[in-house]
Formats: sequence, structure tokens, C-alpha cells
Amino acid sequence: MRSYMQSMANILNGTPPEKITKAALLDIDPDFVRVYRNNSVSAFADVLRANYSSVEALVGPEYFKALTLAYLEENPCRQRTLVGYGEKFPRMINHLTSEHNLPYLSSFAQLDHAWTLAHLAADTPSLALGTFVSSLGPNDDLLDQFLTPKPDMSLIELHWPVFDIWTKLRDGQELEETIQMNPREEKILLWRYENEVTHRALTQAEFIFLGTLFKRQPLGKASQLAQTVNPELDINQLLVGMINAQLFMAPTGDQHD
Amino acid sequence: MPQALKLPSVAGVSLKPEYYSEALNHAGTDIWYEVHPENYMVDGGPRLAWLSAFSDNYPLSFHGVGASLGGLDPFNTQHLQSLKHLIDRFQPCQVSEHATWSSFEGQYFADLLPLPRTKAVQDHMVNRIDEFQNAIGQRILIENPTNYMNTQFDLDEPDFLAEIAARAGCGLLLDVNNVFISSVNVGIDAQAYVHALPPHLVGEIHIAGFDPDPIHGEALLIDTHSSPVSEPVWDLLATALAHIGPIPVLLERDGNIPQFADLMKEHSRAQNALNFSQPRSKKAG
Repeated sequence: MRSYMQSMANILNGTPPEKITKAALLDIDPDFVRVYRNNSVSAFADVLRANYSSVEALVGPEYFKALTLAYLEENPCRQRTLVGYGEKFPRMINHLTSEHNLPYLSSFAQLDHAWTLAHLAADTPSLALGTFVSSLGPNDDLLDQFLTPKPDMSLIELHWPVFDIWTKLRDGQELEETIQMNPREEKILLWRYENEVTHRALTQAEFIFLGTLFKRQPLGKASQLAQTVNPELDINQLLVGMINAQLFMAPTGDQHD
Repeated sequence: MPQALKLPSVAGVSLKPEYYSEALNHAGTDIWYEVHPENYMVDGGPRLAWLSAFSDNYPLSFHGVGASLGGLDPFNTQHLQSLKHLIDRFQPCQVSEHATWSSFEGQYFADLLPLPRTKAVQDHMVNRIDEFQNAIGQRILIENPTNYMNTQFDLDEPDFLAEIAARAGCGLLLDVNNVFISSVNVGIDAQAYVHALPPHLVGEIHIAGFDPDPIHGEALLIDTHSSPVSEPVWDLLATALAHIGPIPVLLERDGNIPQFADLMKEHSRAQNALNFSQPRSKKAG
């Protein structure tokens, strides 16, 4: 059985069936046995297409299929669930920039991947504003407090300003114009609100604030660093907005918002 | 081996995100839903929330695609643990898998590949199913494969599968669409296949649609689950129900997902076929 499975595995990995000896498989019709290879590739392609829908919308189905085959060759699947499959796809797209000449393409892939991560992340109770306020004792300093971002939250730094176009593509809108853009940094936040993935662009100060909390630094440190780029930033307003947006985990034992 | 609460002998439907909301609001007692547990092996989020809502309201069946029951690799520990966790949490009425293999030397192919039908492979499958059932703590059904080519065989497929089931203490899941496709692709007799299965071993029937191969046309049928159930498969369902008696029937649909209302028309046809099938004991009497 091992030699049969080895032969089939070779076919599934792209060896032409004609090169497989009949000793391993009985009654091989190369055209028919190719169905297994096609089915296998289709299964992975369907998942990549679902997980990187904006990339497919930009490059079209033919080139996307070529990307799928390249990805499969580089990354034989080792997991038994295909949910979330393709985590190295953005990196591969970036490495292939000289081939597809779309330097912004990996930024779209980054956002697609972050969307999937947010969609599949663990469920954790959100910190409620009332809980947070009531947890502060009379001698507690707000600036000494630590807030833990929920696992569904991703902070993304992009080198190309693709966020608006990506949002349109994810909404199923068709692009009317050819994409022409110059490199520019964008900071994007993705997370789950009421169990649905949502996203928004962040200012540099907001990004620094959240990024500092991500590094398990206290509110005081996050505020200080954020205000170095925007001294006018209203930290209280920002914090209330972020807590109400369900970005932070409730302390263990607290009620879900 | 523990037996889960039984699926009702009515028609069920594959559960897809495209119609979660309508399916949840179906509000009938005449339906059950089937999911591939691998699609719910996630940390959290909307998928699990939906599955939780369905498990509160409808009988569920877990139809696995990732175990590689016939494979030579050891079972994937993470997969087994995730499956057991889902079974414990959602208490499906039925758990089933495929009499196929899908991984080799650690690589997973996401396809259901046929096994050589020999005595040695039978022994291998009996041991593997025993190990799998012990790991998940539940009796399973194993599904007959779709064949696109003949593999080495000493045994006809129904005899091969029935003996495995009898020895392993599992049941059979008869996919009549797979039988019909195999009858076209590799020339088996579909009617004889169904009649060769011991009725008491068959716990569920699947029906689905196929598509002709783009190159070979009707000479090579592909098990796409992307089309409505064909007339020959409806006929084979009637044959199977007459032979086996009324048991749960699943309408599978994985591609070109229609409106839920359209899917329910096919569901009604399957239920109608079930309504007119006679229990085995009555037929015997």
C-alpha cells in the first residue's frame, strides 16, 4: 500500500501520471487519475480564494490560480483543517513582486489575512466601561492601569495606501479605475465588534497608543508616547471610544459587556 | 462503544454560511443539519456561535473529511483533539468519516483518495477505525468513496466495506451519488452495489449532484456537489430506501449554493422518498 500511496502522492504533487509505473496503480488512465490532482488543488485554491478575496479580485482568477500552485509547491499542507489556510501567502506575494509588478499587492494580502485572523480568534469577554471605571479604587491612578487587547484585534502597518480600495473590494464593489498609487504608510486596526469583523484607519497617535498597550505597557506610557506625535490628543476620549468599541479584554471573573 | 443520540430518520441538509440565518429560522422538526467539523476547528468567532445556535435547535451530524482513516500516517493528534472537543461541546447525533486516505508522510491533500481493496487493507482499516472510535469516544459511520479509477482489488467494494464495518463495530454511510458516479467512471453495477450492502449496517444515506468532466464529458463524472441531484441518483435513493428502510438522508451541496428555498425543494423530495419507504421489520414480516 505504501508504494501505491507514494505514487498517488507524487501525482497529487504534480508528477505527470504517465511517469508512474503500472506496478503501483492498477488501471491508470492518466486523464482520469488527474481528477484527484485537480480536486486537491481546487480544494486549496477555494480556500485561498476565500481567504484572499481582494487579491483575487485584483489579479484575476488565472493569475490567482498560478499563485495558488506556487504556494502549494512551497508550502505542502500539514494541517487537517483548511480554515485560515495560507498564512504565508502575503509573504510569498511580496517575494514575487518583481514577477507581478504590483508592489502594493502584498498589502492587500496582509489586510485579507488580518481579517481572517480577527474572524477566527478566540472569544473573550470585552471590558465594559462601567466595569473599568468601577474597578479603579480611590487611590488608583488611571495612568498606571494596564489594558489587554482582545485576541481578535490586529494592528497593521502598510507601506501602500490600499485601505480604501481594500474596503471596497471586501464589500463586493468593483473598481472603476486602474489602481495608481505611490508608497505611503497606513495604519489599520481590525477587530471583532459584536462578533463581526470591522476595521478602520488609525492616526499615527492612535496607532502608537494601541501599539504601546499591545506591548503590555501601562496607559500612562501609551498616552505619553501618543502625545509626542499629537500633543492635542484627548486621551480620555480616545480611551472611552476604544473601550466601547470592545477592543480590550475584561479582567478575569468580570461580566461580559 | 457509546452511541450518540440517533439522528431522526428524516432528510437533512449540509449547513453552509450562505444560509445560516434562513436555516436557523426554518423552525421545522423535519430537518437536521450536517457540518464538516474541520470547518469549525477554530478558536472562536461567528462560526462557533452559529454552530452553537444550531445545536440548540436542531439535530446535528458531524461528517469529517480530515481524519485520513485509511492512511499510514499516525492520526493527527491535534485533529483528533479538536474533533473530540467539538463532539463534547456540540453533542452531534452522528459522527461519520470516509473510507479513504488523505495524507501521506505528514502532507495533507484535502482529497478523499481511494484505498486498494485487499484483505491486508481491510485489517488495516479495522485497526484504524477502532483507534479512531476510541479516541473520539463514539461509534462512527464510514462512507463509500467516489471512484475515478480502479485501484488494486481482491474484493468488491460493498463486501470490502461491510466486513470492515462488522469487524470494527462501526456503521456504513451509503453515498448513492458516489455509487452512481463510480458506476459510470469504473463500470460497477450501481443497483447490485446497493443490494450487496447488509441493511442493518447502513446508518445514513447521502445524495448530491455531480458534473461531467470538462474534457471527457459524461464518460467521467466529477463529485462536485455543485448541481442539483440527478434523476439516476434519485432512482438509486429509492432503491436504497427500499433495501434498507427509512434512515436519515442527507442532501449535500457544497458549490453553486442555491437559495435556501430552492434547496428546500430538493429536501422535500428527499423527505417524500423517505415518507414512502417501509421499515425493514415490516418488509420482513
